[in-house]
Amino acid sequence: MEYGIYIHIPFCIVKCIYCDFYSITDRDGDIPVFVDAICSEINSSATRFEDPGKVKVRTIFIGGGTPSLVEPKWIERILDLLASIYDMSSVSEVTIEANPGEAPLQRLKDFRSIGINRISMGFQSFQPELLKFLSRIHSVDDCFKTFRHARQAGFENINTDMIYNIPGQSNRIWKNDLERLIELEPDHISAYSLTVEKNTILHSMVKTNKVKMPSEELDIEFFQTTNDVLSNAGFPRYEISNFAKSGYECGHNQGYWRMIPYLGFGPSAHSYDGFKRWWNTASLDQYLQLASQNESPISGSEILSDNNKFNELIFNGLRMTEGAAIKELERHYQGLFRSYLEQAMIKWPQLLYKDGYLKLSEKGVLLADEISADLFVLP
Amino acid sequence: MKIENIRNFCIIAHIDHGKSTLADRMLEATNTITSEDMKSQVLDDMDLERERGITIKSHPIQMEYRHTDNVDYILNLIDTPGHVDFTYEVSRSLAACEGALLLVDAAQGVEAQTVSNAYLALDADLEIIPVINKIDMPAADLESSVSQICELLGCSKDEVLLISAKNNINIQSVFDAIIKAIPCPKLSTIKETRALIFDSTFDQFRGVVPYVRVFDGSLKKGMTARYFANSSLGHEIAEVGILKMTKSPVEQLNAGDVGYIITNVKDVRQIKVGDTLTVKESKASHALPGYRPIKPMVFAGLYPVDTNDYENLRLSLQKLVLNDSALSFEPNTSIALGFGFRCGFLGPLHMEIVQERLEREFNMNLITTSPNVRYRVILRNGIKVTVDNPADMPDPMEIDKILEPYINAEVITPPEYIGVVMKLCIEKRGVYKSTSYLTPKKVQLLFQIPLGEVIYEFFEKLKSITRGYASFDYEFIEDRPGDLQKLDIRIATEPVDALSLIVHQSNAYKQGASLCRKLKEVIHRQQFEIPVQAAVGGKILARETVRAFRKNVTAKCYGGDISRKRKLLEKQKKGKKRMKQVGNVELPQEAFLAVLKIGED
Repeated sequence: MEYGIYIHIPFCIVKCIYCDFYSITDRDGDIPVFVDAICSEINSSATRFEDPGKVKVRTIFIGGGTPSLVEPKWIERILDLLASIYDMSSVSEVTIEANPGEAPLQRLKDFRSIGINRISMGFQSFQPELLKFLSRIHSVDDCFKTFRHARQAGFENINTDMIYNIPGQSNRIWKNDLERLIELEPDHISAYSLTVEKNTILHSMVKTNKVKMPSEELDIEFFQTTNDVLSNAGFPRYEISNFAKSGYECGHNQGYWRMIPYLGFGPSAHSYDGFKRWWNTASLDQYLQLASQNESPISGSEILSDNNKFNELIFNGLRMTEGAAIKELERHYQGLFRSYLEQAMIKWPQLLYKDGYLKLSEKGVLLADEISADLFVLP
Repeated sequence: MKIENIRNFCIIAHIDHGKSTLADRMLEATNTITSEDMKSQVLDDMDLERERGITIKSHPIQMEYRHTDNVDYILNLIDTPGHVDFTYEVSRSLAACEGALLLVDAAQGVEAQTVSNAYLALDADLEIIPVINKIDMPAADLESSVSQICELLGCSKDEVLLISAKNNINIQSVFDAIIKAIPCPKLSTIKETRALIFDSTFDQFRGVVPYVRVFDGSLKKGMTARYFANSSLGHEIAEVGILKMTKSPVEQLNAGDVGYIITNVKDVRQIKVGDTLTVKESKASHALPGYRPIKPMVFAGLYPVDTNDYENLRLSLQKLVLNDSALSFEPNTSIALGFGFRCGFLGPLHMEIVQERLEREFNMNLITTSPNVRYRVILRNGIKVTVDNPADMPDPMEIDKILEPYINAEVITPPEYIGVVMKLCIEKRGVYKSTSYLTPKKVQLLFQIPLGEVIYEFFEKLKSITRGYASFDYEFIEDRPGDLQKLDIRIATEPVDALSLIVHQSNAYKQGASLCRKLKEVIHRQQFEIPVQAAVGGKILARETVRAFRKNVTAKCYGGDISRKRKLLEKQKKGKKRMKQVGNVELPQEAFLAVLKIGED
């Protein structure tokens, strides 16, 4: 059985206004006990498997929060522990997220030396005022500097995160930023449309009319600009918000979208074993407390029915340029799949059927959620 | 049992003032039900408990009570429906009694239904025993609630009983008062049988079971029942009996008794609550006073979302009517919604109950159109028609006058809310009648308001502007002329008949604009632009546009987001399943209820 592994490091120096991932500030002092806790969670995870040594780990992703705040020796301890339990002989990709200005050269070198081979940097923008709006604490120069240091440290696979659809951003500014980024020659680019998520500061700013989000028309323009600029520069889109040089697609995230099982460790982390999905408490305090009492941090779970799986295959599959594998869809569909498929394709001309995959046309991608929901099967 | 030792009474109270708790305590104290039974009832699962709760408490129940002087009494507790749409049914139950316990929550004091129920009881000439309940609650304000009830009834403070039904405090005083203060039934000198049908239920094996209070003569198995309101009917009485926890057959029911009869009538509509039952063998010539045929006051269309469910809906309604004779329905075809039923209800709350029962007990997936009242329309050619479906409103050119039902509305509120209540009632075209202070902290406001204005979120609004402190009751008075017009809604240029409504001229523009805005909010964007227009006659009053969707895609979706996002989209799909295709536009259920939200903005 193949698995991806996700490690959630919740510590941040500042919480960004738009971020809805679980993170916490001013708790760096807790990093050592946190590492203890995550190690005990990893230890207990072994009991899920009859023979954990036969569980093949394909990718590891250390995300957050800001994992680069954690000293490499702690990360090494986690990776060593994983290797002592699971089969890590065929791990192809080990990613860590880092913020510009928060990962000095030596730290990057150390990360590289403990086996991390991919780094994902949250650049977000090259406009100082937009970085400020997004409450990012790094400068534009920090982006270039940290990128250079990462290359120097030996990282040959670097992702950079960028954000569009920011209030005050114009399509021209965005295009310039992308072009500047391309000159830097990263291997992978994630470009996200800024989304107002509930329970974020941005959400309350929009609700109280302190901030007005760009129009839908502009959002679509950004989206198309991104596609045009990046594909021309040799970064074809392989998922809604992800672009990569050929061969540099993020294997870990592809695992999510192809519904390959994964184990998640740390507060708020989710896991999926092909049958069941479960998730941890989204509270550092609770996570630490449970660990100290030798109790499980799991706070919820669900068993995925065939319908649920079918829906996830559609929803995740249509996000990808490759599409959803027809064979998999058919396997989880109860009833006449062919006639279902025919009707779907009549209703939505944006759907394409090619080489055993169902996917969306370039324009259709903009309506991925709309179309997915419509294709869902309900019990 | 000698007639001197019978007491027929009911408990009247505002909602949640503890009526059923007091009934439970009395049933326990008289060993009619054991506390074990009580417990097992509570432990049963939700639906069952609810059903049992209704069965146990909604039928009259006979208790055998040995008083402190060692004399045995029969106490008949007659239940009254606890909500504002059922004033007439309450009055019939009261007519079956000689006395009433008027129960008031010590923390809440006198509320609108306390007042209206007290008046009904006074009208019915009942002996009223004032009872303050929940005296041991921390928020209890005995002084104020006692003075409110004294003010209402004109009684002295010593007459007011202070109890806690929940914690069994002073329950004996209630029994004492029932025995002492409530008169026994009057000994009738008339031989001819007359019994008041004050309620009825439906038993799937034995048919309609009317609950009766015998006033004159007697009822026995083998007699032939006759009904004043439906003189052509005659059924042999198969059984007479009294109601304890279950039906208990007896030889005969005499004047003063409360019980049931079984006649194997299958059609519940044949037996009318409030009617007088007599027998062929000893036929009375005059009915007991007070009968009134039940008239539905509020109407709405019910349509199955899935047109294949039409037959199911018909069966469900037929089953519902067996236990709810106040509900009426007839087949109706809407151009927009297809085959369904036009249903009549006693009032807005009754409508809500029916809707909920259909969805929950019968699993129906329904679209309900906005409710309206029945209009009487006088045409230019002198012909009078009644219209209970806006879609049927005649052409404005043909109409001379439209009359609409008015109600006497009673609002009881703390004085600090007088201003907002006034404003609300006047917005609803209410005519202010009077203010009277029940106590310095409680004011009764009387208005006359068109019923049609009260069926749109009036209760909710009243509650919210008074922070839940105001209570409301109403009764129908008469039809009065009004400047009314039909407002049509066009979606993607198609008129949608099920969205038409009758509005007052002065509000037409405002309501039209507001409805268009609400519809714009609830209509899901589709692959094309959808204009939404409000029109009176041919004139467009307002327009909004639902823009075509162009982008709907989650930017970020990784391991932790998948479950949440899938559930969100599954919910969206579920909502879509409930949509109704009108022309080429999919309309959600909420669109048909958008009219209820008019004026919220």
